[in-house]
Amino acid sequence: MNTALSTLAEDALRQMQQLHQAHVRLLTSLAPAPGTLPALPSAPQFGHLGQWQELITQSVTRQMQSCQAMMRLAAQPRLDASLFTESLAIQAAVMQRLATQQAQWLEGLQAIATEAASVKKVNTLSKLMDQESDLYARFNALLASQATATMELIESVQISVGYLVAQKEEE
Amino acid sequence: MSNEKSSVAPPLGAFNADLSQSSVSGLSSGAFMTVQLHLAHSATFVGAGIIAGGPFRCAESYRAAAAIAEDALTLNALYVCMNPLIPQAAPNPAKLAEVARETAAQGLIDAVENLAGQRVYIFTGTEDKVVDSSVVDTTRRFYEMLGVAPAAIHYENTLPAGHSIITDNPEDNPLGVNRPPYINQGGFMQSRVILEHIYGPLKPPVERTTGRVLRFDQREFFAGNPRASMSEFAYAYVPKAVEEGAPCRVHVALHGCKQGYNYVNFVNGQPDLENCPPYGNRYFTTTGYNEMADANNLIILYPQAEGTDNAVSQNPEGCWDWWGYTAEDPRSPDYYSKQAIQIQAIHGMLQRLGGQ
Repeated sequence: MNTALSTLAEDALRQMQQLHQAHVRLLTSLAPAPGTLPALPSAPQFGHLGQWQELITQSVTRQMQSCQAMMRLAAQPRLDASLFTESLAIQAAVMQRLATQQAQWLEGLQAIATEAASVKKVNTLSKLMDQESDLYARFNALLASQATATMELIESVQISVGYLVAQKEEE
Repeated sequence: MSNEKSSVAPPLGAFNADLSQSSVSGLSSGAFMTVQLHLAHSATFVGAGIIAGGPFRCAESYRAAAAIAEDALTLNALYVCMNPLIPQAAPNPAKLAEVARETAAQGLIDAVENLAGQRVYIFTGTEDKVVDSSVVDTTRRFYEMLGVAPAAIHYENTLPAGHSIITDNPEDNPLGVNRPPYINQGGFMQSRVILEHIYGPLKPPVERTTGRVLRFDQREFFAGNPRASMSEFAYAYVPKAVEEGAPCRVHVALHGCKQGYNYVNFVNGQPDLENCPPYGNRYFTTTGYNEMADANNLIILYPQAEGTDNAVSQNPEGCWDWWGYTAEDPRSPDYYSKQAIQIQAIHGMLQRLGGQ
């Protein structure tokens, strides 16, 4: 069981490193390349970038703290078996949520595709523009909701694991 | 928000109310606030109805969630108190019951011993995707640990309801959905079940109400402080007999997020004023409370929360404060005590109704 916990902690550490690399890439993509954007007020942009940095740092810190706590628990001579069961339950819950997200993504795409393929009565250019714009807007909304759901899942895992481990350490 | 008197809403009046027989109920954030109000003033209340709500101060379950206190409270609210990944990651009722006892010992809320003789209705729908049933289950255990007899708790957790208050209005959402207006058709009036559990057998609801929904200026109860995230107006249903002087009891009914009268849904970060009318009076006219009030000489008090999202308060969905967004200092948040801005406001309204 200690070996299994250590493996879980090491896996989590590896995921943390991958997450950190993904966040660095995200931050890099948010920073404008010189000469490619029109002149924009810099204050709001940097303000948001600062918030991204702060929240991502918190996220990575949480992940590291959870890994460290799991390592500490794994090193204890007498171990509560429930943490291992709970870890498996968390993994199962994550798979369930990813499956649900995937289903929602496919459903959303299907609905947009069906709408796009259907012939609707249109009398004016403005109405045609409206309908075409609606489809793009719905696709963007679907993308945004998927991205948000992924972030929520990441945070949810971090908080659940951290909270569970913290409770075990208090016992 | 200004302190000037409203030109369209008079102050809340006083009635012949026996405040020692008061009760409170709520949905969602209203349910979380119901628990807070119930504990803060347990000497005043005889019972509570909690629809899809978690236990007292559950947003403080895991302080280490983030380095910044305000962020930690929000993360707790979302991932421990609403949607824990697994039931074991839900709030810990034993720990929170201990927190409640400590809070009472500090004089911040009434003695928890007051709860022992009270009656509590707790509901969770099996299709609720907003506040997980595992969280509401901890609310039941929380009350039991504070001395409410199991026989005095009506815990309903088998109905396939979404996140909603249930009615028998055919126009309302299907039972199992989780979307605004969060009022779902389930073939019965949940408000009636709540009131009858709290007060015992009551007269059946009237077919046609005799009284009035009074609009009053709510701002005096929070001194117009924008930190309160409460609206200019609030409402109270007063039966005709009560307006004419009959003795009455008061029930406080707390709406959930996105259910305040002036809530407008946000689309792409902006209030969708062009397409989405404000929520309006649905919660305080169609949920069945008024019909029961009329038959049983109850005043139903409907305080109103409002959405704000600025440097002062992050509450875009117009929820009651159960995670500390009104706190002046998030490191020592006060959203749960008798001095908390919203609890003080609601209690002030209750006292006014009783002529105090």
